[in-house]
Amino acid sequence: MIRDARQLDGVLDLSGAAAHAEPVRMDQASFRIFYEKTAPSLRAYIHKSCGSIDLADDILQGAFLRFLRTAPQLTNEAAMRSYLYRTADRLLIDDWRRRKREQRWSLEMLFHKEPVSRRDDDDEMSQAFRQLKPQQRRLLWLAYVEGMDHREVAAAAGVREKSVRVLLFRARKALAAILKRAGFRQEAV
Amino acid sequence: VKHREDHSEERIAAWMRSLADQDRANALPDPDVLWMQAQISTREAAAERALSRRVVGETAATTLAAAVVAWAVFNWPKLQALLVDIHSLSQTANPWPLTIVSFVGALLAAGLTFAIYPLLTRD
Repeated sequence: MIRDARQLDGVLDLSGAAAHAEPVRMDQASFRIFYEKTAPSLRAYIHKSCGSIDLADDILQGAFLRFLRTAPQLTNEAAMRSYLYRTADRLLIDDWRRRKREQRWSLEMLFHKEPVSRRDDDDEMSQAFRQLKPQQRRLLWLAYVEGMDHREVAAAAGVREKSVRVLLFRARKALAAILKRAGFRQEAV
Repeated sequence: VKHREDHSEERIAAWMRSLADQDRANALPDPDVLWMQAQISTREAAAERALSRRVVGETAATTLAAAVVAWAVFNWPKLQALLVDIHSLSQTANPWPLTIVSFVGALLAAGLTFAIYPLLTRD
């Protein structure tokens, strides 16, 4: 039985070196370790993107369920994390579209009533983060929270590796401008 | 400029990490429950795939049986004439054509029975 992340390194190729290695056979114990390592920052990303912890938990579970059904095709941890982030993004978009459709046909919209907000984190930092474009949010998160290199960011965000540097620069600039407008102190940015 | 850019990148990175840390206090869904849900949904998907294959087979068998019956009904005079011819053939000295025809007929009947068997044994 695998008990900690060091043992998991032997099961999964954490370096990403074996890109053409045999697919990983993940058992329950190795999944638990992978989950505990990956889920906190993934859930934080979803939460900060959608603003609701309940929705974030739903999307996190949906992403991991899809991952468990298709993960045997993946060979290393970086690929697995990329897959999870891409899936979470797709689920976020699906949820946004579904809610937009529901709002369009609901009685509240017919009688011009404001739809109920599901957001539970309206602090300044979260608001500032949500003002970024979805792609900028994703790039900044993958690069600075997940600590991915440009190749991994490109794979996870679905952009060309050569573009990552420029896109990250623009995303940083956009975030700095948002924080400045929001009145964050210069030292914090 | 490069130094200032690096400094700005560090500050953005630090801000991003502090943003991510805000969420640490919230408990995560149980990974063991997720694992079980995934196992159940994988089995359900496999069962659904098997069921859909069976439904396709049964639909094909039903269509085939219905087509044969419809053909027999609409071509009954021709079929009757054929049967009479076969009967008259049996009266001739050489019984081989009748043997071949009856063998092919038996094969067709067996195939049809095999095709519609799932329908007959369905609960």
